[in-house]
Amino acid sequence: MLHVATGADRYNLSPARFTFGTSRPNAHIAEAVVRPNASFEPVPHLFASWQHLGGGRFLARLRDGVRFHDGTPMLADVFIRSMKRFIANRDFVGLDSDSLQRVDERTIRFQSALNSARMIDNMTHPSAAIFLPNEDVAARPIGTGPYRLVRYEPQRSIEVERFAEYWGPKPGQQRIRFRFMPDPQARLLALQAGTVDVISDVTPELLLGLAPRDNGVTLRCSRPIRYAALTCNLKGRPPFDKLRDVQIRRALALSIDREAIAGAVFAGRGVVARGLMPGWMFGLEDRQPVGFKHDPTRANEILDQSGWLRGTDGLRRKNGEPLKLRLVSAYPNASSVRPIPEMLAGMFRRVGVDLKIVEVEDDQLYYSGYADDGQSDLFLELAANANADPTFLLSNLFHTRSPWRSSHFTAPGEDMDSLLDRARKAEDRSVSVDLVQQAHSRIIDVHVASIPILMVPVMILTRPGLVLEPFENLDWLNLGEAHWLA
Amino acid sequence: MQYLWKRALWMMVTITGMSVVAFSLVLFAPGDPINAELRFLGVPAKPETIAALRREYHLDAPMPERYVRWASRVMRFDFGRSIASGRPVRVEIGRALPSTLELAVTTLVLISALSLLLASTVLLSGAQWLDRLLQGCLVAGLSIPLYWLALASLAAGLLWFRVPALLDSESWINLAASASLLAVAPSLSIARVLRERIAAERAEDYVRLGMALGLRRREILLSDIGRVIAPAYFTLLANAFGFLLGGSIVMERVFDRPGLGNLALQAIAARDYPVVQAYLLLAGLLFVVVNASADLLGAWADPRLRRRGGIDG
Repeated sequence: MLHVATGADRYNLSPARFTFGTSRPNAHIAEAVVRPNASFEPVPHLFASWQHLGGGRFLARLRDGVRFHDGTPMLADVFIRSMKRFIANRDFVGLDSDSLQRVDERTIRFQSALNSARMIDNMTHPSAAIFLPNEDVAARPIGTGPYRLVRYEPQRSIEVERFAEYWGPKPGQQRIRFRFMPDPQARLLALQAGTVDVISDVTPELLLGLAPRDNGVTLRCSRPIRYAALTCNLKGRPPFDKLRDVQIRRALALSIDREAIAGAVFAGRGVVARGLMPGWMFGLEDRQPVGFKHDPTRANEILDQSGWLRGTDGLRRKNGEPLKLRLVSAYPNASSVRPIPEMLAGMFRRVGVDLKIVEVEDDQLYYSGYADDGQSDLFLELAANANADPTFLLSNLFHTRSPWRSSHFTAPGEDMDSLLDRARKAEDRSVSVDLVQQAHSRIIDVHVASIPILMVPVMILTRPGLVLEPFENLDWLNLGEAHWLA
Repeated sequence: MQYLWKRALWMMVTITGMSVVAFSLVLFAPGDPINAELRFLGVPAKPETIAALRREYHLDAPMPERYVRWASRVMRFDFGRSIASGRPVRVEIGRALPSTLELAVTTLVLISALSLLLASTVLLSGAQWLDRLLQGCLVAGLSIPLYWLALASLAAGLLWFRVPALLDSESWINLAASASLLAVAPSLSIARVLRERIAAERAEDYVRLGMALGLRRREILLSDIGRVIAPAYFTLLANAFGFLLGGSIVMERVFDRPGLGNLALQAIAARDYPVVQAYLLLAGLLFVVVNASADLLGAWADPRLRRRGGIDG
């Protein structure tokens, strides 16, 4: 049996937001219709194939030989009922529930409510999983995944065992027990003591408790995916209106010594970032934003030319007003990015900018107290586009009509909206990716709406001798393939 | 009888006040449970979806109406449904409460025994160095953060002494370790107060009379002085219970006990109003009941209080 320690139990069993066993951790009981490949493009899973018919209309063929854990074959009728119950109410998928139609026993037709060609991409999200739509699903969740539920004790643990009739490759691990342990340091101690084999969600603050040469644990890293970046308030009201001037934003971007920060945080596993999405994702490799080098001389020149001149205390002023900025640190919490804010304050000070740091440990306070109302100049965030939809991150952060309120202050405007709208509606995925790449570059290089600092991998901790390859989206971590070295 | 009625009436007023505080306190916290839930999933939602969810949990109604609706449900022991888990709050609380009660009661027993033992040892021995040691330990016990103490003890237990049961919430070792650590500071604190109260009582005339009549020190301490200081002792224990409710949050988190503290912490982070409100009300209720029990025990032990409070009448 593989013992996995994870954070607090956050499964929701209400019918409208059913996420049991699908996310943080994904217990692999139920599966999504498609899954992301190594480039984060959707590849067949429960859908054997699909075809975009244009205008957001899709025709999909269900995989042969798939059975639910109770033996029910996965055919069009039961599949449609499941999609109506578990997927149609997910806004991020944008499925028009009424359009679901059986073509034959294994073929279905459906339509995006937004006429989006990218709808399939969003179906890679594990919470868009297919469960048997029985009445007692909350008490007895049945999926088609490689593992079936053995026992669930809320807030304690969930145990699954290999499903013998699984349609795909059989996983190596016979049983997996996920243990909910809310305290990260207790999780680390449990791993060091051999009580658990894997910590599947390694928070940056957990790394602080890890000795550089701890022989009791092995740190495994994915490719870099999470960005640590400053999001700028482009439309703030006084006193948070200074970054309306793109020249100040540019000067700040040039004053950051990213190499120094990379060496100081995330156990040295972060790399200097040019953008918010990594090069390996969606094939963006050679089409990344130019980004910013560390050039304090140029930063000083820009600020001088903008009329922000140094006073006797070394700080810059313009018309008697000091160049003081507020930085809210951070999403998801201040502990996850320490000591980046303090390092930034030192770097900004060297170009004459005074930075006041507000540390927030609670993501609700981060949004409702600061980000949603533009109550700061800069926002430090550690987040990721862990989604196969290339438009997902940029549309939510930098589109003026994003459902996320904070974007009112971070969205550059019409040119970005236009690029992202076109990307979302493009029939061809490569055209969509191309438009996203253009938007990405403009956000960083032209608008400086976001100042990238580092790209950080997803990390897992294992006991020595356990082989497990991390995946950039932890919900798709293949725990079944974990095995011990002989 | 009159005393009991007065106490019951006072408890009712206190509990009603607490229900208002429990209900309104969480509403003033920044954030919103619907947004918290949707953000946790990392997916954007349409404004109409958010509005529908707010309607579902009556979050769109005026506050007085929400309070009346909530209070009337609470009187039927219906605390609503958790927004974060979708389960009834009564089920969530029912699952977590035994673990917390087990920890709190064990700790309270330990505090009672340890504080009495320490205070009487210091007094009966008459050794100054023991008194100073108690004082020193008290300062140390109060100044070491509980979270750090718990984590360091867990690390030592797991990595040096190789006791994996420390992280097994169903093992007595887990209970003993977390209760012992939680009992340290209040035991020392109560022992110190007890020692001072007993020392003061020893200077009283009735003690000197007892000694003149040839009673032994131990006898006087247990029967006469014990009876006089019992009400204060019970009050100290009741106050310590309040500390235990807070301290159990730390212990449950570090020693991985699925109790009310862990449930409350998670609910606060998720702004899960129904769970937080139920937790606050229940914690307050427990505190009130324990304090009332301490008062009754004190009145039972000291006849002077019974006469003053009219418990006989």
